[in-house]
Formats: sequence, structure tokens, C-alpha cells
Amino acid sequence: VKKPAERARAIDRLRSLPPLRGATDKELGRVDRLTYEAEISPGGVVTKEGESARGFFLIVSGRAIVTVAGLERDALERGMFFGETALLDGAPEPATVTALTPMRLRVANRREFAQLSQVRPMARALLEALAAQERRSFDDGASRPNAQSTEISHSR
Amino acid sequence: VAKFLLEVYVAAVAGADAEGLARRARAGADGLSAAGRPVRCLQSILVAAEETCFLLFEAGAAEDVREAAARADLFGRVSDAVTDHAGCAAGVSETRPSGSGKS
Repeated sequence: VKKPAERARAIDRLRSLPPLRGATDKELGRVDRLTYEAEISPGGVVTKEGESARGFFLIVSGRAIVTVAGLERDALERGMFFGETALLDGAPEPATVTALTPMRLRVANRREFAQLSQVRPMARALLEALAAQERRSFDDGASRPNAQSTEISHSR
Repeated sequence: VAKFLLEVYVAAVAGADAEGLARRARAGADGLSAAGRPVRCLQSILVAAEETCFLLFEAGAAEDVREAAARADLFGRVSDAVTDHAGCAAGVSETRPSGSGKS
């Protein structure tokens, strides 16, 4: 159980993250309780393409690279999130995410993620990420994404 | 030395392998112990319905458990834990005669 001062610091860190802008203290407290903090060293692999879901990850600080089939596809930074695709569709992780710098993450398992997605600002961020993913797939000329989508989504 | 519980998310589709996770956790703990920060993985309990493997550690601090987990490539929430094996054993011993039907 966190001490009040420790919880207040954690909530302040969450408040500054883009997906949680505008969240109330109560909502931020819920995010704090539903997630735990993890630190990753540079080179650390957070998710591995083809393996089962490892959780939902919200980047508090640091940068990561996304690779698919060994090719760099994207860069992730503070405020972005990943891991939700495999949690939502139950399929293997669609991409490998590797830390480029020391990273601080907020992590949730499937059950916690389900509750997290009901927290107002987080729900909106997830919907925006899914919309961006769908638009990218249309721009790429791909068919409409469905439950078997292999695109990784993220949000600033 | 205190005890800590590491909760590791294990997706149901992964085919739960508590022994494998415990082996990795022990390897991570051994590596950190060899570096002068004693950590021991005492027990693992897989609760498949919750998609969670609980790993019980003995360590000097929660941070040591996090480091051991990181070395084992495991993510998880670390919490302070209190165990009472003696109390449970005593409880079993006390209830067995009346529950066995052999008195």
C-alpha cells in the first residue's frame, strides 16, 4: 500500500501524461491503483512478436523502438502505449518493442486493462489509437482491420 | 530479510507453466545473489483462472525482487508478504481428526 505522499507523487506523474490530460484526481487514483510501475534498461525487450500478451504498457518516460519481422516500424515515447492489441484480440503480440533508453512504464494485466479502459480519458485515448490504426490500414490500402489485426497501435 | 510476492501476468493462451516461470525466477534470484544481493524464490502458485502466477521471494528489499524479476525477463507487481506455514499446518492438524471420520 502506498503512503499518501508517495501516491500523490505517482498521481502527479500520471497527470502530466498526454493520454491522461484532463483526468480528475479520482480517475488518476484509479489508474494508479490499476497499474504498477516497471523500469526497463536500454536494450530490454518488453513485448516479443509472436509471443503471448505480456500486458498493457503506458510509457511514463523513455523511448522504445517497434520492430516487425526484424524491420523498424515505429518509435514510441513518453505518453504512448502498447500491448493492448494482444490483450484485446487474444492473438500473439504483433510486434517487438525494445527499450532504446531507460524506460519507466505503467503496466496492467488483462483484467486491470479492462478496468483501465473504462477510465474516461484513457478510454478516449484508446479509441483514438484504434481510429489511427484503422486510418493507417486504409492509407496502406489494406482491408478493414478486424479482430485478427496485426497492426500495433499507440497514441501520443 | 523479508518476504515479497511477485504477481506475473500469464496470458491464458500461453499454456501456463508455473515450473518454468519459477525456474526463471530462481535463475534471476541466483544471479542477483551472486552479485551480493541475496534473493531467494521460495514458491510459485499458478492461478490459471486469474492468468496470474504468484512467486514468493525472500529478499532484503522489494527492489531486489524487482531486479531479480528483470533479470528473469519477468514483469510483475511486487508486494510485501507475510506467510504463516506453521499456523496453517497447525490448523490442518487440529481439524484432521474430526474431518477424517476415523475417530
